[in-house]
Amino acid sequence: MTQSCGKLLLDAVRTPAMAVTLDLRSWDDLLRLARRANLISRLAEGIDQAGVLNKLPAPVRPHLIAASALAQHQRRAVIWETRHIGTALSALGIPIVLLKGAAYSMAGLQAATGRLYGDVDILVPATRINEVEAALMLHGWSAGHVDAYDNRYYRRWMHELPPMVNIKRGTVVDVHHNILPLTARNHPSAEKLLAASLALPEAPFHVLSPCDMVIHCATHLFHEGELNNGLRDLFDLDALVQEYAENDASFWTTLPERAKELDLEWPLRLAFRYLERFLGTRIPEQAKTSVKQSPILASLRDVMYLPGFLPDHPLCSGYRSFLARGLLYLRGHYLRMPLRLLAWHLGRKAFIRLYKNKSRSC
Amino acid sequence: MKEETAVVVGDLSLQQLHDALKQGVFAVRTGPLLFRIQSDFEDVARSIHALYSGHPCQIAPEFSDFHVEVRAPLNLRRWFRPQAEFFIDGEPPFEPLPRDQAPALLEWGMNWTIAASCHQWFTLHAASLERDGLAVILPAPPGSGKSTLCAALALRGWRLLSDELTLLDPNSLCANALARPINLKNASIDLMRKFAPTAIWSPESYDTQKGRVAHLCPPVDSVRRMADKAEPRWVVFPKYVPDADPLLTPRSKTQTFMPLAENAFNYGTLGEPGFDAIARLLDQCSCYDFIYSRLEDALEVFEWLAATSGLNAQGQQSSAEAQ
Amino acid sequence: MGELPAFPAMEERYAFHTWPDGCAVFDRFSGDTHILDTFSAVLFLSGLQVSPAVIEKLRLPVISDENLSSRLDDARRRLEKLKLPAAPPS
Repeated sequence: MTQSCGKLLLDAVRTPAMAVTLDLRSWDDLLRLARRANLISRLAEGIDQAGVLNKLPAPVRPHLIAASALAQHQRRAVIWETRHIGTALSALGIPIVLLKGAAYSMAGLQAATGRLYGDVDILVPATRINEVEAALMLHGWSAGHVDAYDNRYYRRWMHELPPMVNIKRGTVVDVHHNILPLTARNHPSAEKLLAASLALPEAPFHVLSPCDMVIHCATHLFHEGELNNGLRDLFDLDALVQEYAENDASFWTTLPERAKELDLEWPLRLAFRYLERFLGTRIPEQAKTSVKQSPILASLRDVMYLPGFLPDHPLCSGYRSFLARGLLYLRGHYLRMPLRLLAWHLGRKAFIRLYKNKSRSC
Repeated sequence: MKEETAVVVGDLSLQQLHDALKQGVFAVRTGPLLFRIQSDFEDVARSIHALYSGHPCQIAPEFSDFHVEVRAPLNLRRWFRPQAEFFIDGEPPFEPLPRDQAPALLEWGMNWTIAASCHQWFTLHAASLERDGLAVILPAPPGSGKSTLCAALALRGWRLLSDELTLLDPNSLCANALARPINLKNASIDLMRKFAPTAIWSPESYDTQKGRVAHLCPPVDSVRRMADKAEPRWVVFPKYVPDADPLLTPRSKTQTFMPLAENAFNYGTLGEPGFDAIARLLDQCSCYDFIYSRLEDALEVFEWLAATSGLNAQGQQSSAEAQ
Repeated sequence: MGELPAFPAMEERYAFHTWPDGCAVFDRFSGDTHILDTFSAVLFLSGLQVSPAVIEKLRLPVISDENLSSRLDDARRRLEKLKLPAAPPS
């Protein structure tokens, strides 16, 4: 079950034209899996682009139409929201580097297709972060519901401010000064990323350079405590490398070099491995060999990551995937902070969960 | 889509229904949607058996629009303070509730599922009812007496489309029927019990935020005709004011735009098509504020509305251009 | 890299719908919706240079000249606050 349900989802998102061959029972599974993996909009827009929507069974179509509507809206909304942020920050005269979904949308990249967004993420120079925070607060954003502990934790250890919520629109912006926390084992130089960033036609926005955008996406994916959006992020990566490789013949040579320069080779290594394995992305041999690692380590990682990528859905959930998810959560935190701090942090999180549950009882 | 079989929930014995729910193979049709429901809870089975007796159902259909489940949450609390939690595709969108609210939780969860995912429609937080193919839409905040009024109309000559969610096709603007149980609270429950002594109800449960809650079974005719759509003709904002005489006053269409947008679940999501839908809806509807205290008065006023539908349809001019 | 989503030209930026007592405006650039009273609507629509037939559907109340100019000033301020364009003062 586990294997075949993963295959159904991957095949359909990768090759939407094959969707016409699916029977109703498969659709019943596929829609649920795609919803849970946050891939339903990508599936819907892929099917739309392949022009096969009208060949699908009638009960399936409304769900895909709804998912497309949501994706189109989110693409527009992230642009609207980004512009509001730009208005608030333009007086500071610093480049605002858009990360992840907002960057894909504003730069008009393929990776924006069918993507669902949570927050807008921006990267600004660490030295100016207080000014950025103040300017946002002046324009209607405020630090969301973060307790004093979380606030201290964010400010002391993390690579970002606590999420800021716009009071009027309820939208959230995450302000980063680096792409990984100060506590993380590798901390790449944010200056290098900022220096290489590219200006978009619409000021004050920048995006990371193509190589940096791929490396950031990979780093983010494999540092995450949970892989709830793991497959979606992998599809983002796939879209990014394909589009960049098409436009720049030297992309596959410069990418590993840049990863080495930023001390972020291992996420790229993992990205290559799982892109090939799950999505069949074609990655040139020479790019792979330049970031290779020992086969034993690689197979150890597979135990952890392979089931973790599948949607956390009753259709897919076996014991193995449950275990893998637990391991991943620990691993995500391990990479981000030293162990002593980790135990303290997790202990506190568990305590709060219990306490909050209790206070809710009536 | 053609209705697959003529089997309705009432054709199953309570035991058969409970077994099917336990195995997660039971699916019930509510208007355009087929919900597959899983639950071990006996009170959930009893509630579905009572409230959905006339709704078409299927056992293990090939395809369902949504798969939902109500069960005990997986935490330690279940040993000392039993709870019920709603799941869609294995994910709980909200906090668990005390165990005895499981049947109500299923109803709220189904509403949430429709509001959160069905962007193929323009979805309004409003009650809607039909007469002679024309629909009246009652958008209103909680406490306005919207559900009570909706229940009374549904029991006296108007066909219930929905008590909470009005689903409009974005192109034709036609309203879909869901024919779901009507959610009533506190004094409204007693009022309706007196108003319609033979109506069928779910058991009452007590919610700390809402007080007493119960669901009223939708009228037979509403359920039988739930595939029939209706064309919106009136938008009425009801307001219950104790001891007030009934007062129906026309509303400005311009000033009705934002209240409708704010009552839509997906106005923002649809973007311009949502804007366009409200503009056209206002063009084809007469808009009113309605103050009332006695249901008998309200019924009379709505009879008058229905009788004058042809008259009102004249002279609804406005212009629409997108520059 | 693909094209940046274009900044729409002014005349393509707004969708609107009028009734005798005002109009609703959808801003395609920001996603905002605005509701305008008759005076603001007249100023806004004249600014967009829509056909006079559209503007004639708005029913302006009959008022004295001095009241009219102060109402128009109010309307202009409202549009400014909403960051919507208005016809230039004549």
